Amino acid sequence: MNRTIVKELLSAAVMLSLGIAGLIHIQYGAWRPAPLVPSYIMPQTAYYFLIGSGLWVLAMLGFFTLRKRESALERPGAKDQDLVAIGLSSGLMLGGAIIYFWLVLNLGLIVSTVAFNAVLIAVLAPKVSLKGLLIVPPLMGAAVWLLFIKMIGMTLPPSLLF
Amino acid sequence: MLDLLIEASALAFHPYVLMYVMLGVLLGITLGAIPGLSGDMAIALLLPFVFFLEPAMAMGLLVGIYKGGLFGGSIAAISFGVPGTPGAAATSIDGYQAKLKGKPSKALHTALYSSVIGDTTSDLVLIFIAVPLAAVALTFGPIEFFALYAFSLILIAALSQGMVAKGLAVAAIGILLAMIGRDPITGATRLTFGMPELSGGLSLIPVLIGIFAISEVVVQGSKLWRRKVDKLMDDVAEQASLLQGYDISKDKLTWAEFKFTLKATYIGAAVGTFIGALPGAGQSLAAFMSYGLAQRFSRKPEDFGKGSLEGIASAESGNSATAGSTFIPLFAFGIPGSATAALFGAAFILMGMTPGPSLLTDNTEIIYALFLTLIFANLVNLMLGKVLLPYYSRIAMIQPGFMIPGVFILAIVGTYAANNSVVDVWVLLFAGALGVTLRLMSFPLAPLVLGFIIGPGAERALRQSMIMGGGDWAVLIKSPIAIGFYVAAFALILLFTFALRAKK
Repeated sequence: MNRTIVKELLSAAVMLSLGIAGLIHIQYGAWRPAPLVPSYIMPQTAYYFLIGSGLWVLAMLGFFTLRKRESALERPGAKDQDLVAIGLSSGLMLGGAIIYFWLVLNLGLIVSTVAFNAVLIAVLAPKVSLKGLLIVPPLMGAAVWLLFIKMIGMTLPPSLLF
Repeated sequence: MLDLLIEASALAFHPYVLMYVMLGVLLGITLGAIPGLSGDMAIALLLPFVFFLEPAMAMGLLVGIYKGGLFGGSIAAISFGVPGTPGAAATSIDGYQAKLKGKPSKALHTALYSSVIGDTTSDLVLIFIAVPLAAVALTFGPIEFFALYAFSLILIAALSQGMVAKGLAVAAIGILLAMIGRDPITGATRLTFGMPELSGGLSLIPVLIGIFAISEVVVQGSKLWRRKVDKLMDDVAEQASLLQGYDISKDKLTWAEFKFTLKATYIGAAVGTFIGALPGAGQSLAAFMSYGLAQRFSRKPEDFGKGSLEGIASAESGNSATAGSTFIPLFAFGIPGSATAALFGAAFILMGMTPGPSLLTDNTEIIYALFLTLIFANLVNLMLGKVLLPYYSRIAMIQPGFMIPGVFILAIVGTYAANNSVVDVWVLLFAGALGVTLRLMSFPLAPLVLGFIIGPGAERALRQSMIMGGGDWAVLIKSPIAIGFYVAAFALILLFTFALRAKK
């Protein structure tokens, strides 16, 4: 089974399971009754669309697989993604963002911004120099301070540093 | 009439007013270019200062910020793939691709010219046919509005690079995200998973930035990391985004290229002006509809989504063409057709003017001065944009290894700053993770954002229609205009499904 077929099957499974789970929630969940038009009417319509789309993807998958034209299922010009790299990048950036924002609230905006920026540059920039690492993060910290503290007047809870 | 024009000109072209317009445009472009910030945010922040300015000066400043912000949003969309404003989401589809192909200057100039053309068209419509056009828009009832929303969603889904089913599915996901929070009719919370923080619903800014920007930044980050590990530096597309080798003199928009984009610009101007006059329809809908129609009528529809200048022109023109016409319902009937119109309505009230039919009769000079300011602000936008663009083009070509962490941090802090809300930051990161997952599974992202933006309006229209029809779904096809929208949507789905599959 090639990568495209796995991707399409996975997509259809996500659409169908989300649609069916939503309909079950509508059937058995606690929805406040409303006169004439229930409050779940729009979510219900969206769930029907999800299920219909999932079935459509499955039908297209069957159609093109039987005709040995699996390539027609792929988006034009699409490239295979490097799952390991995306996983690592997601972990570093999204996970790092949680830590960063926690530090912003507790340690201070500027200190956290300089530190997080330096970590991201060190890990991601292909040809990073020590000079670049010493110059760019403080500049970023200064830009954030100027824009959000001085110009916008953003308010943050009191923190340990600055 | 001549006396009125002279008096209005004296007000509009007072040196202080001109200075405030220029300051506003400069502020608007700069703020719009920063991911997470927008002209609307600046207008809201400046509302308290309206008290301290003469009405013409205050209007000049606000109009300048609004117009500059509209164009500035496209700078972020093209340079970073981050729509600086919701209306620039459609611009980022082709704009960012053009930038990745080493054509940021062409893309930015196309956006500037189409933005100014669309905006001026819309202003002229506002000035000359405001009242009749508003009357047409107001003949739309909930049935027609729901059909328009459905048509827009289906059109975008059908044009999502041939992935019709996936386009419809993500549009449905976008609508579901928009349903999170309180039901507008019963007041009960929906789809909040027991979290009281979600009862107010998801804000547009974190969802938009998360889906488009964070996911893009994460994917770009993964490419950088891969390259760092493999020491592979020969990818042509990646090279285009490096500073080395970029020659701005080879990236100038030619007259022939500009002429080629004019049809798309006019389509955007017409669609944007019409959509802008419909209360609640908004810039994003206008931009996406213009984009879809321009692709439909283009001689090179296959280039859309791959850095097409026509794609940029149509989206930007459609987005900016709402600028003037969005005031039509406000001026004629006191109904703010958009968030911006609502902010201007608030400014009018702060200055002692009541939006509505009496606005034109009681404050004729000010309003005519405002009309002149709207046109003048477009000229300032063109001139300042032209002066600043080369610098923005260069900023966009800075090494991604340094830019991506910066954009990522700006997106996080900008999202927090918009509402001073910690929940918005978590929503941003969730939307980013969702965007990465959808990209991995080859889902298009634009229908999700459109579904999220128009979800509440579509729900309101659907429920009002159903109440009018006594709970009978057949009410949705009782209007000839609505039937026209459905037939067009169905025909487009068939057309694009088979046409695109046949191409493969």
